[in-house]
Amino acid sequence: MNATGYAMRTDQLTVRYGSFTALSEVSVGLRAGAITGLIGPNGAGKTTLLNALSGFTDVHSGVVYLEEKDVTTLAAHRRARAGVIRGFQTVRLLERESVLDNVLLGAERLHQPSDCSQILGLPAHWKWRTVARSKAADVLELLGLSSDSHRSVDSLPFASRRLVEVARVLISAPPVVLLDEPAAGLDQRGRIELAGALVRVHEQTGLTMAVVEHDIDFVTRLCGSVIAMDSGSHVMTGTPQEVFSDARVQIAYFGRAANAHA
Amino acid sequence: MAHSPLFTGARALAGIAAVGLLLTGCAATASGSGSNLAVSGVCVPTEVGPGVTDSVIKVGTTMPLSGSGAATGMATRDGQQAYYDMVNADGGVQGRQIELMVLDDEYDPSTAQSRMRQLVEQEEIFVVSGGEGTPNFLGAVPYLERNKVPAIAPYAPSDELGNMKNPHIFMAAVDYITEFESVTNYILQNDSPSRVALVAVAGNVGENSEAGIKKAIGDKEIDLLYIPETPGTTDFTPIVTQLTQAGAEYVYLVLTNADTGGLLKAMDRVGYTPTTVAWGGMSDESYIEEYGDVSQGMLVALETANLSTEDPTAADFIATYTDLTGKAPTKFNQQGWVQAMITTEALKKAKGLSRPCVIESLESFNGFETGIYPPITWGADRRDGVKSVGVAVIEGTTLRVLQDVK
Amino acid sequence: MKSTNRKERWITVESSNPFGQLILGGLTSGLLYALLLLGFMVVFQVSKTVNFAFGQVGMVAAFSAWFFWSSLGLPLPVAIGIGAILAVVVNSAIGIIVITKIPAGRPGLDLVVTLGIFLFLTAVMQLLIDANAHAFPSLGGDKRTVLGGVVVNANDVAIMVLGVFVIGGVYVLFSRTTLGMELRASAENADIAASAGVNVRLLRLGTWTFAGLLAALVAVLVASRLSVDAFYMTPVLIKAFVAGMIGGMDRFFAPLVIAIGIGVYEALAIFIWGSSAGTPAVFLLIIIALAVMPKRFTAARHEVRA
Repeated sequence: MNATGYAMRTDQLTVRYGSFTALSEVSVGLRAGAITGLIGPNGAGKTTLLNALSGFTDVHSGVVYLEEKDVTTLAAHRRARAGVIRGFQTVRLLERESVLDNVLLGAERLHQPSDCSQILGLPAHWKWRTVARSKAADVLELLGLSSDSHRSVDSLPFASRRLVEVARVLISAPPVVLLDEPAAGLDQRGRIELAGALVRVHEQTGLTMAVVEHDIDFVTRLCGSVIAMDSGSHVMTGTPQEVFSDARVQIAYFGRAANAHA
Repeated sequence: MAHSPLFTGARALAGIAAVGLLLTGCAATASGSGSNLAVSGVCVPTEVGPGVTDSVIKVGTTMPLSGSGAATGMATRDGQQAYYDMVNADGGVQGRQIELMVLDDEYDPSTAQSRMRQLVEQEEIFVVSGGEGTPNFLGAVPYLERNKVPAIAPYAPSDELGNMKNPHIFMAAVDYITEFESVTNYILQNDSPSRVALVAVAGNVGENSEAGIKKAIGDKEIDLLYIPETPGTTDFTPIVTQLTQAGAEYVYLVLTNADTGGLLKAMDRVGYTPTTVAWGGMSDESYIEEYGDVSQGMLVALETANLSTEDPTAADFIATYTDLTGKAPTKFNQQGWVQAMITTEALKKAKGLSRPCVIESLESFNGFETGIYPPITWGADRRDGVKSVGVAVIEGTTLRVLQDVK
Repeated sequence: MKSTNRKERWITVESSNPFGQLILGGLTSGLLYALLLLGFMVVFQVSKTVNFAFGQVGMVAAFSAWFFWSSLGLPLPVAIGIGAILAVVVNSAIGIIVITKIPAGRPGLDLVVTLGIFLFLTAVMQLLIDANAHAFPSLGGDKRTVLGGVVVNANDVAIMVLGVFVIGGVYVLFSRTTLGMELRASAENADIAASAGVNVRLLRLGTWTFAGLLAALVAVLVASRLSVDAFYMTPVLIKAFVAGMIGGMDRFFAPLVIAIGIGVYEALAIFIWGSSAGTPAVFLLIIIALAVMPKRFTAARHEVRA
């Protein structure tokens, strides 16, 4: 744990696409070991912020820190290896592979035996496969996907596909997890179950999590702290109650101030 | 009305001449056998044809400069250029320098036609100086005939050419019919095979080669299997299988160098070793150098004087060419050289620098010695130039002449 | 004229099974098409690029190997080794150009660029060496035996063995190793692969390098059976490409099997109908395939995600 207490943070981060400024001098942080919500209306820059944290977009100015190390120019796959794992807003899976293989892909960044031992089927490889598969089994069970593990993902209903992506993100218990609307498309019951699963994973592993979400209930249930954004700028950070009752947030979200709803 | 006999006679004469001209004109158009005039028009020495200025005579042709025929095309062009360079250094012809322009026809008939059109209409060449390759050159022939442009000694063996069907093309290369008839006669004088086969580029070339072999076979009891081939073949097993099934003792090859190599290798892979017989192109040094290993004992038709004979004219040519270009000549350089030589001679002898005068000059060739081809003779009704070939055999890295070109 | 040994010169060929002989010839040719297609497909699937210059990359290997061996007198294995290295370098360079210079979402640009490279390589090799056709060593062509009435040549056996080994090896790599998983992930969705820690760019470049090696292998084997010049690989690439279009560029075994099938089909067609039937027969096959299985034709080309 570093001095600032932030697993990841940004300092005056600006992201531009041509003449359009997606993020403007944003300085926010993800508290180590906490689940932080990220809210804002469409176009607020939430996904852009996630992209900047995970290395999927170029930065115009400002700095991104991972455990107080400047990773602003570190390539996406390197950041993944360093422990920043993300999900995508539209579910992205390897369509022709099974649920299990999709989830196993997430275990990539962990230590692997050499390819030679894999081709030759050496014992080291079999040992690794067993470990990886057991981790996969754990996370699939956590998310209620155990019975689907050998099905091909293109045959699954949408909700299950979402969960497969979440499983892929979580399998390697990365220190930093970034999820982009993980509950989108889930019904109320699904949302409650997902929130519960994420809380359980968090309790077991103490990982740092950032979750982009629109559902106030889901955010409140899951997150200890919330970052609110609007039009590329950071509006405020606070507990869910503080944020959702703030007038600026209400205007940005609902177009007018209203009584807060927890 | 009273007419003086002279007047009447003159009118009658004029009338007869006019009818005569008309008839020969019609005859010329109808059957292609006509007089000088019907082909060329009249030679007026003061007229100057297209492509001729006070200082330059422009000649040109198309040749394959890319694709599988590129090697022979480029070598022939180089041979022509070397000769013209020599002539130009010596003052040129009729006080003018000869400018050669060769365009790439990609060994393709329609490309040859459009390039030839470009040469005649845009570049305004005076005459066509030689050429290389049969199917491509044949593509340009109808255009040349329509526009009455003489073509001098192209290397395009074909039975379509060398006759009055295409009277503007003056051939000095025998067609494949004559070539293979000649070689087969030689073989039959010295051996009695019962089965032979021919693998040749499909089309005119293959059919003519087949016809020539058949002519020499006559009514003897000899089976001939003709296998047409298309350039770009990647698997020669089917052809080899047909050959082994037929059990041919002699296999005639009329293919590009590359395809010949591929076929010989395929034959070697199954252990099939008949006596091979090749068209004149295989007497080129570059072929022997490259494929000599798999071609030992191959019989080759000789259209030009062998460059490795002790014939002083041949040695002379080799020395001159090497001095000029810094490299020893190959067979196709030699082809180009002699094409340019014949063209230069025709231009020298022409009474005037117009196309009809050049045609008249060509028709006057009688036993013209080049030291490379057999003596060349054309005439008012004759376009085939030369009527025989020699035979040689590939031994080691050279050719041994068995029957001379004369 | 030669001595009267001419009757002995005509050696009776032991092949008594013409059908078998044809099949063997067709299989070996077909395997060569398949191997070339494999290299082409690997790059297409992982790097989403159609490399029209692929045949010429192979030509660079074989033609330069011939040159080193024939004109410079290097031992054959050394000459082939250097040729292979050249092919790998050239194909990797093409890969770098394509990966770094062609922006994502510009489909079709790769065809134009690689076509230009095709012409460039042809011209350069003609300039550096020459425009003639040359005899490449037969690589086992003189060792033969007869099995079941079919003359089997060491060269044929070498191609069969190599073909099976390489295709099998690539399949095992793709399906059973982590590297294979990374390749498959990169091929299907570059973002997912990157988010899982896969260095997609490096992997893509690696496939170009591997493909260059395959092109060299095929080109040398083809040269040992035909002749080598600046254009000889073009018919081979065309047939490989046809097999890919029919079988689907995004599959594995189907297009390879079809490539082998084209070799056999071609051999039979030429034997039965003559040489001019060869190319038309192959294109007839495309037309039939298109008519019968239209969905096979357009393998959905995903845009490159850089």
